[in-house]
Amino acid sequence: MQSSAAAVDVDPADQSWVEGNKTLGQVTKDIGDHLDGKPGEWWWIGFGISLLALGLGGFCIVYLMFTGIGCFGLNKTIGWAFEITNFVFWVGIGHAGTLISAILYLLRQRWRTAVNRSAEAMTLIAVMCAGLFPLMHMGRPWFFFYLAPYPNTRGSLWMNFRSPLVWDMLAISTYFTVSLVFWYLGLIPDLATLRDRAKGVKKFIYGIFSFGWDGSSRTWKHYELVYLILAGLATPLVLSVHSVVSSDFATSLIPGWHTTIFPPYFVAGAIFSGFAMVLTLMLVARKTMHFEEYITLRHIEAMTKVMLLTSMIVGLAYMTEFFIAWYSGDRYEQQHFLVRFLGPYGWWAFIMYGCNMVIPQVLWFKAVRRNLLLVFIITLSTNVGMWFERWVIIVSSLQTDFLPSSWEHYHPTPFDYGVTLGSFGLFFTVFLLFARFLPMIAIAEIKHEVAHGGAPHGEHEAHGAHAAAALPRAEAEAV
Amino acid sequence: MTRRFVVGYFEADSAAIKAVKALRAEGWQIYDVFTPYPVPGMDEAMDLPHSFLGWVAFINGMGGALGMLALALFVSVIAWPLNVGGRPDASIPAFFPPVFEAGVLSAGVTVVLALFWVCDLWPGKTAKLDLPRSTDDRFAVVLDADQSPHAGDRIIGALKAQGAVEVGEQSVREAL
Repeated sequence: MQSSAAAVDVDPADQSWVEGNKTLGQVTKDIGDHLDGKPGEWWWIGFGISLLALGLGGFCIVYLMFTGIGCFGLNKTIGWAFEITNFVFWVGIGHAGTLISAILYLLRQRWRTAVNRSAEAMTLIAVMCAGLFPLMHMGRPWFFFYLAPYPNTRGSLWMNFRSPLVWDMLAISTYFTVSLVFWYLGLIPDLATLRDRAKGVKKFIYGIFSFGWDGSSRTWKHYELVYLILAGLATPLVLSVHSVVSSDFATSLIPGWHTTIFPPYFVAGAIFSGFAMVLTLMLVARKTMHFEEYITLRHIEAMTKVMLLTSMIVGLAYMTEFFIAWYSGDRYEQQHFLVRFLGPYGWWAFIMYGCNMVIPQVLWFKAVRRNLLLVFIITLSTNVGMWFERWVIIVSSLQTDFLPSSWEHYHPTPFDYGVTLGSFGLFFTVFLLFARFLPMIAIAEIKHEVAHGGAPHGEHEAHGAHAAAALPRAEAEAV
Repeated sequence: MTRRFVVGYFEADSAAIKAVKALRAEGWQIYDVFTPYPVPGMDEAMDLPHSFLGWVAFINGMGGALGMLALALFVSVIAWPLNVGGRPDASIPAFFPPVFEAGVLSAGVTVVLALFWVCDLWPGKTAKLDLPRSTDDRFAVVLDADQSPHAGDRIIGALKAQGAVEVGEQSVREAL
């Protein structure tokens, strides 16, 4: 951008993130039309499989409620395994949604508009999946309310405000509520758009949920401020949530857990795994729903760059752990990190370090970042690797504590696998329903991008009424 | 009472902004402009006041945080003191996570409820005016037709002069 003469060589960051020179009406149609027709066969196949997995998980949960948590492979040494691993995994998945919707909003990253809606939906569903596991692990989830601070007939027996488990309960419920409110607020203008183009029952239903939205500029003025405030609130919130989750471990004395780097390490890992999951979903969605012009290769590339960065932060944390174990001179820490690699379950660690630290390094190459198949494979391997990261941190640390006499292996039962599979079933079932009934892409935000995205360089080809909307911003303000 | 409105439709946000500025310069009062997305610069063109909702979030956020701090202190010092290795009962740093979460929760939820209250949005409400395509691809500039005697026709003329692609009139029955 040295001179105006070089304007042909537009800075990629200033280009519109929507391809195909869309008009505003086309945006409504492209996104809205998906909700009108009948779902395709791939949707039904995916929905069927997800529902099956959910049913299996549901059966396991019902069985668990009647028999107790003895049906998991827990023993006196490893009192937490699949349930807490899945909990941390799903909470982590959720983090990418908030990063995209809140942090990238504050950082004015315009590419977030194409993916923020579905990423936020992913956050909500992932937090729902996560919330199931502590409930299940209680064995008697109907006593969940014991965690709430209120005067009661048990003493009054109050909760311990210094316990990370109590922090966790508050953090997760706050996170879910604020994410839900943020997501729904963004959805209201789009529901109004859908209401105005729908007929019959659909119009009635969209009408109820769109709160009588009419796009008044007076409302938009308040709305934009509230959206900004929520983004500002959600940003520290998302960082706090996984920090609190990591405190569940870091405040204990178990070798492998007793580390001060856990909070940033967990947050980076959460964003890493979340982006992998967003990319997995987006790659499938853009292909099956034909959103190639909205979720472009540049979006995919931007997301893989975030993955690469967070992968390296996580990698740095891994290496710091090993260094500190050696440097601390703590024999129990040293022994733990040796066992992690050289013990009977060294392959867990190889999957964890390989998938999270080594494989993502290929994302340095632009050719890889733009190869959808390779990106898809890397996101899947990251999902697997990040699940194993939590598994290694939790189970391998518990396995070998201070007393060799209490060392124990973990033998998963079918119920461990069943509830894990069930959580994936729940996740994909709800996500597919979301894709079926609600706009996957934030219509109002995309319209803003269409009208003003590439504007500073006036590259928009004029077609019809759209031409005036593409006036350079400076000029529009000067008028 | 029935209230009459004149509606001018524009097909680009810049055209709508230009029209709003011109009409205001002619002395007309703009009732509202209905747009499919928040148009940058429209608030200045309409001279809208700053939103005060930031204060709602701030006050409620502080209230939530201080309320949780008070609860944590009450529980840990008065109602259920726990001796953890001789540490003080009022261990404020350990209360920080709950206090922070309560502040965020209270600010985030109340500011959205305040938005709904201020902008009169509620489940099942129907939009007051029927403005086709204003949530799709058109920008509707709406003026009160009775803001001065015989204003309606002159406003219609002014909107047409500004290049409105369609100009119409609408009557709305309003409860007083």
